[in-house]
Amino acid sequence: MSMDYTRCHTARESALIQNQYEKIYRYCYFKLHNRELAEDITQETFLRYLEKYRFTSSETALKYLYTIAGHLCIDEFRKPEVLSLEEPVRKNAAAVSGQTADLPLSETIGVPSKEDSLLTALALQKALRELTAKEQELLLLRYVNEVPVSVIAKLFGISRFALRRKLLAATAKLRKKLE
Amino acid sequence: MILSPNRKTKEALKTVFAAPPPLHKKEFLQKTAPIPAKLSLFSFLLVQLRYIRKRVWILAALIFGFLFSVSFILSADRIWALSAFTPLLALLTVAETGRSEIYEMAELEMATRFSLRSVLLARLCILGLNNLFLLGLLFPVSLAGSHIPSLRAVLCIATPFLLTSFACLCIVRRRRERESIYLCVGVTACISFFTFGLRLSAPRFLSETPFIYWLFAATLLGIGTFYQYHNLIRQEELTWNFS
Repeated sequence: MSMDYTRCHTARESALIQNQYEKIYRYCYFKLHNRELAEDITQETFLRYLEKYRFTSSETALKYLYTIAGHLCIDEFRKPEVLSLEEPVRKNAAAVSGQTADLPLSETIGVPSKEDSLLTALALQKALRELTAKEQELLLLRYVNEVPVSVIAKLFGISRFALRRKLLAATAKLRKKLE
Repeated sequence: MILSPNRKTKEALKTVFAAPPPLHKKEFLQKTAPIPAKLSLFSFLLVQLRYIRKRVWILAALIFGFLFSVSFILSADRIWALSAFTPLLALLTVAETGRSEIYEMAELEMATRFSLRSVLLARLCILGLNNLFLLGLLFPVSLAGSHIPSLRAVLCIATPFLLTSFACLCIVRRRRERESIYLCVGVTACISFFTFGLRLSAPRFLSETPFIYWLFAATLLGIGTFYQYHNLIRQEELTWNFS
């Protein structure tokens, strides 16, 4: 019997894709700033995961997903530049190379229900621009995508304590900018 | 002291890092959705029936034949004979259910269409029904002409059966190796000999022991066996699957 690698075999795999799709997509969008490219890479990430790493624990699965997504984003930047009619592709090359990144905020803030939230978001947007891409990535992974500390630590190849220090430093920097 | 962002900041971070909604999420989820199982429960059980080894059915038939003959040969103590040999049926069930654990095949079995939990439960269900059927046939024959009340006789048969199941499952779960089956055989033999020895040393043990003791022992062992089976299935899933 041949195996169809592009399909989930269990409800758990299906639930994992359903739960993580938007998070991985958000992560890819943070790196690429291109809606279609981010979605293509998100789907490619899941397909590669299904092909090779499906029999892993949930924590390892997250690690694999983010690693694959990160590598695919880097590969995308290595490709020769193709001009897009819709969005300026690779305007955030710095996000991957580790320099300060521009955030896709102005187009993605959406419509907050309260003025207060909007103001906070705008202030935060401004403050985040002052952080390095690495720090932004950490904040995105930990506080927006809610990835467990152990997974992020493995992803960055650092200890949990080192990660905690980096997170606290980034938060403190952010707070200082907001004041 | 530096603290992590408060709830308001976290909410704001989510807004700031928000991406435009994905366009093809629905299509992708549909494309990767699991292939729907078209089998009914009965068909699934029939499929799993084929995966139970032939030797299990042969041994079960031999035990049944032996006990059936013994019931006709012995004029009394048929209940004791049944009680002493039912642990063998329990051993067969545990050996077959814990096969994935013993041969460390769970990882491979998880690559199949059905979840390991469903497969183990189906096997357990088939073997349990088989045991129930065999004991259901033997019980009236053994009880014929006996002065022991039916409920007490049921408990007398169930207690060694449950004790064997419990002990063998403990062994299989803790010693994940092929040799564990020999240990299970040893434990089963001990329980069988002990049951038979009890009959020889204390002939009135069955009728004189208060009913509540039998009930208590059987209930306790029943709970223990259920717990062990539950953990056996859970253990496999935790080892290999998403938790």
